[in-house]
Amino acid sequence: MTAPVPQAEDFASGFLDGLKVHEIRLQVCSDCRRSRLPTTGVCTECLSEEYRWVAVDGKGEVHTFVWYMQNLDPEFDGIRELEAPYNVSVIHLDAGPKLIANVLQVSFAELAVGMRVHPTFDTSNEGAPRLGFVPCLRPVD
Amino acid sequence: MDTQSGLRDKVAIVGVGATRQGTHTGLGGYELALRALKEALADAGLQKERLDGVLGANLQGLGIDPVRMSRLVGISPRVTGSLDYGTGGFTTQYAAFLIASGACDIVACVFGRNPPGAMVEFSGAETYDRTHGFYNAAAVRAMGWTRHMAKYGTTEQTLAHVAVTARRNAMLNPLAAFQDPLKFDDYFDDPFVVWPFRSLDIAKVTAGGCAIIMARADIATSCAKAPVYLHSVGRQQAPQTLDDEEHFLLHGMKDVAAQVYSSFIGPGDVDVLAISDASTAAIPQTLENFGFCEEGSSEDFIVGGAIDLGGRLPVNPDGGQLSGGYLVGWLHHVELVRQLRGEAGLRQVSTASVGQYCTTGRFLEDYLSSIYVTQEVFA
Repeated sequence: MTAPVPQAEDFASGFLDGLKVHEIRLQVCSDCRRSRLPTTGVCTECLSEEYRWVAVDGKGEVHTFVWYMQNLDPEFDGIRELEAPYNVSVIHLDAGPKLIANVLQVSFAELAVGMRVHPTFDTSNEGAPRLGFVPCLRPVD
Repeated sequence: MDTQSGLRDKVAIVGVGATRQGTHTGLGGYELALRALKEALADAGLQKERLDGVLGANLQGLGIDPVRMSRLVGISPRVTGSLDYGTGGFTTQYAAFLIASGACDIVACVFGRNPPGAMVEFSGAETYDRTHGFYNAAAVRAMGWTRHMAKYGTTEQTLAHVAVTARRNAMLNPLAAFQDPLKFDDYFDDPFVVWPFRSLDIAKVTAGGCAIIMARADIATSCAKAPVYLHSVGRQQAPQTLDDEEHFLLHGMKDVAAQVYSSFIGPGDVDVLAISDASTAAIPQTLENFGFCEEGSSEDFIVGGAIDLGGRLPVNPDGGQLSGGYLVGWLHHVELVRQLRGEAGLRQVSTASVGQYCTTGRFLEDYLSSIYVTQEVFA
């Protein structure tokens, strides 16, 4: 079993389309230029409904993280990507916003707040591209 | 003008009731709530017909419908209401609105539930990001503690002290769910669940009932016991989530602190503190954001014994949600009333006349604090 397909949301498709071609695309407000993450129909700054997709350099740093050492919810049993121990991290992109992702190719001892990371894209499941991050010391895939 | 100053000392808690917390085989939420309500009515010295408002609450599909509750006890209130996400402080705030506006004279807030897995299952079942496996409210709080440790150099000693103190207090509370002794070694031997949290850092769901009866101040003085006045409430919704630079350090609490304290009462005046502790880390983070200690200094404050029963700011004398029982923040109000009345028995805090409650809800998006005082404080 692989990870479930992300929830279909009206404005998320542009983000997922970016992942399919190995890009982090931010939904940027056409009026005030604030980026909207998670994607949404209305700018929380200026209430504009206009936006465009802008590809950004996906580097960032680890803002905070946790390690799931046990599985607490049977819904996640048997998902290869989420076999304990795995981390869930908040990545603060250099481009501004923060997002939730897994940092891959990192040990429990290595992962730290402030660690520099760059994005990695798993497009093996065509309908559900996965965005991950790896430490900047590791090569880009 | 002070925020929500229309409420100040105009409403009091006149009666409280709570069942034993833990497991209750064969009893449903309504039966548990009913037992608590009967106790609260007797505590207040009120006949049920005097209730002209009934509030219930609903959390994750379990809770109390106030119309059904009213039918069950045979009363016809003027107003009923049920809050979705009606943790204790949110519900008592609405009861105070009803009374201060003149809509009601006496309001019963009633809650009870018997969730599956009582005493075993972790509280906070919720999924935030299915793709990346981010679920359970405890993980959100754990994110905050990771950040706190990195920023301030705090350690697991803080959390261990919180867990052990909660259990020590619960052992003095006959209604508490968890009463087995807990030593520091037991804490450190407990395996990590969502690092940096062990199982002992996360409240387990429990079964139980709770009722809180509130009345207009002039009615309260004719009830059976000394009224415990609601001095102030602060509340802040902060739904911008990750855009806030330090979302996980719960800085929304600072907005609530600015509302709940007054020229009469500041953090230095609080005798007993109730913190909604679905996880251990809630306690250090609350202490810092409300100004009980400097930002980043909660480890010294806690490990130094300040929050212990004999310390300068006892926190959760009933054992809190970690050891006393997880009734989504309702029991904290019962405990503050008992402390302010001097009825807390072996866990009584000496000279308690100002009590404060602090909570954080949802994805760290909803903050509330209330301050309760005895007659002597503002008379």
